[in-house]
Amino acid sequence: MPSLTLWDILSDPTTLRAFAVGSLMSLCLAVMGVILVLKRYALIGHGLGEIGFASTAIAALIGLGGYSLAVSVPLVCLTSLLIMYFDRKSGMGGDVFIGIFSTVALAVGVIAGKFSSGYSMESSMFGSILGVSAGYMAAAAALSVLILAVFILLYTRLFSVTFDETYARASEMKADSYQFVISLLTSVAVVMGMRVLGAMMISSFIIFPALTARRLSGSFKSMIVFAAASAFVSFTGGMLLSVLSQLWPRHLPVGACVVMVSLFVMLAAMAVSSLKTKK
Amino acid sequence: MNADILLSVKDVSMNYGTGRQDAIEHVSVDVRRAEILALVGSNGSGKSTLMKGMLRLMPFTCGEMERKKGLRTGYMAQMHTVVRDFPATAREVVLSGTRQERFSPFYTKAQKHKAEEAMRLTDVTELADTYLGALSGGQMQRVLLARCLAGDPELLILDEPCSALDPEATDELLRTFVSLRDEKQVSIVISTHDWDFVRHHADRVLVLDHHVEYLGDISGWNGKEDEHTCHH
Repeated sequence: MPSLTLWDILSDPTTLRAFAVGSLMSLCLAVMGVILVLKRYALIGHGLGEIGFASTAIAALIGLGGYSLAVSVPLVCLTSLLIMYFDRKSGMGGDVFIGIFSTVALAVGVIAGKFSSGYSMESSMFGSILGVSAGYMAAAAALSVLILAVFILLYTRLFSVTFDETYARASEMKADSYQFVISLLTSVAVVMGMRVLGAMMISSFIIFPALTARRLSGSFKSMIVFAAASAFVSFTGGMLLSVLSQLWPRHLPVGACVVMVSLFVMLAAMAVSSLKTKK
Repeated sequence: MNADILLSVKDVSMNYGTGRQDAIEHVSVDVRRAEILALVGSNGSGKSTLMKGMLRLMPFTCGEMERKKGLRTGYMAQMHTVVRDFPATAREVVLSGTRQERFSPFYTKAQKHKAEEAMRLTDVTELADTYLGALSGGQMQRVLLARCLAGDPELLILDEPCSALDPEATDELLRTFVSLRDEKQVSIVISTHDWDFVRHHADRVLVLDHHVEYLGDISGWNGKEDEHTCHH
């Protein structure tokens, strides 16, 4: 059998689909990540990832494994709204409810996974981007465009609610409605991203680009742009590393490669920022 | 409601959210057009709570409030509530205070004009593109005031706006409040420990100690001045 070349792998339709979905997903998670990190609510990404893991296991259990997006999107959206509702009602802090819901979801996911035939817990936990089907790609592309369009349309209001929620409320802005929008958009982005990075690593795509951009920007607008660029570079770098590793004895999973490249991009941004400060 | 009154609270009580202790009890006060109403009282006397009630940020446990229909308000919370190192320029913050009537990622020409005018009034035009983290306390307060003014408010509710400022920045900000009342006919409700300002510029004073101790012209107040008075 002839050995694979890098070009063979890169020009493969599966790789191209994975690249397209991953790029769109990384942009969505990065822009939502800016808001979540600035609102000190970044942990929600991790919690929603675990809830997404449970939802894919439940989808497999009820025989809808091939339509996991259709099951996961409403389930994760509903749970994120519940977390927000309990957070607002109790005043105990969102992290408490993220902890409760995510650990219960993890337990449900593990149990449901054990009863589902043909369910890969590993790919759900750590991602399997190369298994992206044409149907999944079309759905993910449509959802990504929707997330980015809503984000752009509500940009000025999202800024107000993120910068100073109290002022937004005092100005009669429907701050709660925008919080709901933020929760819903984040849920959809997380469900899409799970396929690539897996439930365990999804929060890295919310946190790393925002922190990288935070180091380089002095305005909200530039932070959004830097976060999107950093996410794209990290995803592309991680994906290439993973693809290259197919030529090596050990194949490295995309999720882990993307997280490591994200870390290096953030460290580079920190170094640049320190140099600028010293000057 | 009298056309000269922008907001009226009648016999309102509020608690701190725990439901156990009342922060204010049976308070009644009107806010009139183009007046400075000073709220004074020791820390914890209920000034901030009353202001949050006026802004509908906290509910009343009893009593009622009437507001002029479509009343435009601006609010400056105590300084520590704003994240100083938020990645935004002064211009972005001021623009966010303009009235947002349509869904768009861009501000309209009219909104940009309002923001520029507000920055000019508060003397922060030169700081427009400065990162918030690089502003001094006084500059930050002026930027936050510009955000309020960009919304074209009829009523400003200011919660100890000078508490973290040096005497010079305090004087500058207080002068701006007075000119807003005199030149723009903006009504101002301000909580303060600064009796000098109250004596010289407030139209009325509300002395609060969970309930109304006094409400009226400063000349009619015979009680002790607040122990936290900050003279400069």
